[in-house]
Amino acid sequence: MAVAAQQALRTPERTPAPPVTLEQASPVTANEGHLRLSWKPEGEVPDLSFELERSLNADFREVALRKVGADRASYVSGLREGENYFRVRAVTAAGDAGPWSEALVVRVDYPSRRQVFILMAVGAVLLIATVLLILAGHARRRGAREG
Amino acid sequence: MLFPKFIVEILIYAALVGSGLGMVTLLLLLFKDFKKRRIW
Amino acid sequence: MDLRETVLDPTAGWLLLAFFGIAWVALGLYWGRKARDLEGFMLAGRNVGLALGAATAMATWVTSNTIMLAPQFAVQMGIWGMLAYSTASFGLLLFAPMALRIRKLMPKGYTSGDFIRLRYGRAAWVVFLLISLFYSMAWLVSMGMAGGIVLKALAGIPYAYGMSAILLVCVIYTLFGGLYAVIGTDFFQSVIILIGVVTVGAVVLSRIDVTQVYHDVAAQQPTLLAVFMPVALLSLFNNMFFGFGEIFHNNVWWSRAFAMRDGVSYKAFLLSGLLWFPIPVAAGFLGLCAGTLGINVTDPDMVGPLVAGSVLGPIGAMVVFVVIFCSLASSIDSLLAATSDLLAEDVYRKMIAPSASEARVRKLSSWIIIGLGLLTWALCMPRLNYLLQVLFFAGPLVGSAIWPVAAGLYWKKANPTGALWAMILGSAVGLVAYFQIGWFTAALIGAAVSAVVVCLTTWLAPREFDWSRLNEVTPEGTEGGA
Repeated sequence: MAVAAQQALRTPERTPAPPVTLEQASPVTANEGHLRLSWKPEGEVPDLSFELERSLNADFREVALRKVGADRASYVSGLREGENYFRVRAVTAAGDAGPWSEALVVRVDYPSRRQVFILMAVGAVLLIATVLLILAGHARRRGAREG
Repeated sequence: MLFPKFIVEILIYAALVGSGLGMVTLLLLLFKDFKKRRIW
Repeated sequence: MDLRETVLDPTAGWLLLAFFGIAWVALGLYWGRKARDLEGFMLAGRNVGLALGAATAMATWVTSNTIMLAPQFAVQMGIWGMLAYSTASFGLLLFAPMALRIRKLMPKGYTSGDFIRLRYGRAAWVVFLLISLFYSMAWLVSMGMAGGIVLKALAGIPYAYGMSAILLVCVIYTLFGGLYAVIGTDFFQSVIILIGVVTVGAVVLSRIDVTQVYHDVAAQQPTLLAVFMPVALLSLFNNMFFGFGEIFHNNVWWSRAFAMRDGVSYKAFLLSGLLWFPIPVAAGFLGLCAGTLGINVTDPDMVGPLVAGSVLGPIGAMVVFVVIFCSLASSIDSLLAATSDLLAEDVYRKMIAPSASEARVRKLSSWIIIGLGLLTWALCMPRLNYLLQVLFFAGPLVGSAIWPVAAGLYWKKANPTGALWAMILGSAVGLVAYFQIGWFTAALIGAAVSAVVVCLTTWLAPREFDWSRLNEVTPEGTEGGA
């Protein structure tokens, strides 16, 4: 976008930060609230660092900003349910920030409360039953020689 | 609703102290077994 | 991996590997003098004391997963994730009374397979052996691969070399020292692991403010601190039953029960459970500190070493390296020993050659250890990452064995056919759940289905069992045989 304008701005000492493309690397785990994001700057500029923004709003009204350093990927976790918006931008060593990437939408759908309660109930019942089986058996046969 | 901060603190400190105590316990037990010559 | 540089110098890595490798092999050779006969090799003379007993159970259960996965669980599933991991210690606690019962019923027993065969008959025995061998191989391969991966990430040692070196060292000292070497090295390993975890944790705590960590996580990764965190909550019971299944069925734990001296096993397993319980949290909380420390996590399985290395520098990396080596070795050696026992005793002596002499079986165990090592190495070499996931398939399989084993030990009327079908159906339904619902439900569902089958069949078709049949005596008159 606006390459001509960028070229006009360029001076020998300050190359502007390139635009970045953001990718979602592990869609499978999104429904557990965590996934890997990776990105590629268009055009290699030395000593780039990156900033990652996360928001629950499409317009990035309220954001959580994370300075990622020189890595080209980040593992995000602890995401809230619903639509999570991400965007990333490059920052040159001189401090010039490039344009934000296109926003990536990650939908997080946790297992339903109903499913959670049912399975937790099964777990609790099974745990109690298993513990009872062993402890009752143990208590009944205690008198004998210790092994 | 988030876990309150003090719970998180207690968990972490308790885990570290517990692990440390565990190590001491193992060493003391070995010493005890060693003195009675019944390590294995 | 996007790690810009490895945390430890490759030379340092190789030196550490060489030092511990040689030390462990030397110990194996030294203790091997006691491991001449079958009982010495497989069961350390049935005389292991409390200190070593507790240490070996704890160390064996601390796998590299504990050190690497605990921080990963913390990053992915937060507080409940770490606590869910800790519940794996409950298996050790519950095994304490079971070990007592096992020793009482089978004073000269050798393997978990022996028990299932005598208690439930051949069909159940075969299914049980298949489950056990699948799980053992999955565990071995995941440990071998983890070793190669971690050594590469921590010290730049090429995957093939690191993986091969660890497997080679473990095979050698297990080969020569048998269960004596396994248990003896476990003691050193358990102390080293605990020192490492406490040291790294304490230093990290001294550098960061827990309040700051709390606020950072609450801002950046809010659901990690949530009380209602669905997947984490589900994994709580799943992990627990995965742990029950692993410990109740596997010969690694049964052989330890048989190896301990009279009066030791109960206390040893209880103690080992208590010792293990805090470790996932002590190691795991590092995962929560990454943000506060300004560390960008690119791969969650490396967050533990990353944080340790970032806070303690090369020393931290060395500590992590040594702790990982110890946790890998303590599990790999146990698996090699216990699986070879199972194959030599159950498959060879009981199924193929009932009249084989003890010396013959002892010799065969050695060959099997070598064979297992080679097979593991061959499966690890291509570095197929999805093989690491195969271990999770074992969840429903081992979960389905929980009730057959426990009911078999305590219920006189447990139905043998019921036990067989419990394992088959539990495994099948559990695997379906794995793919249809999620990995965090499979072990629970497998265990639940199995329990229902055991209870129903025992209630509807009880079959009296004579406990004395478990106390097998061979023609030679000394220990369990065909």
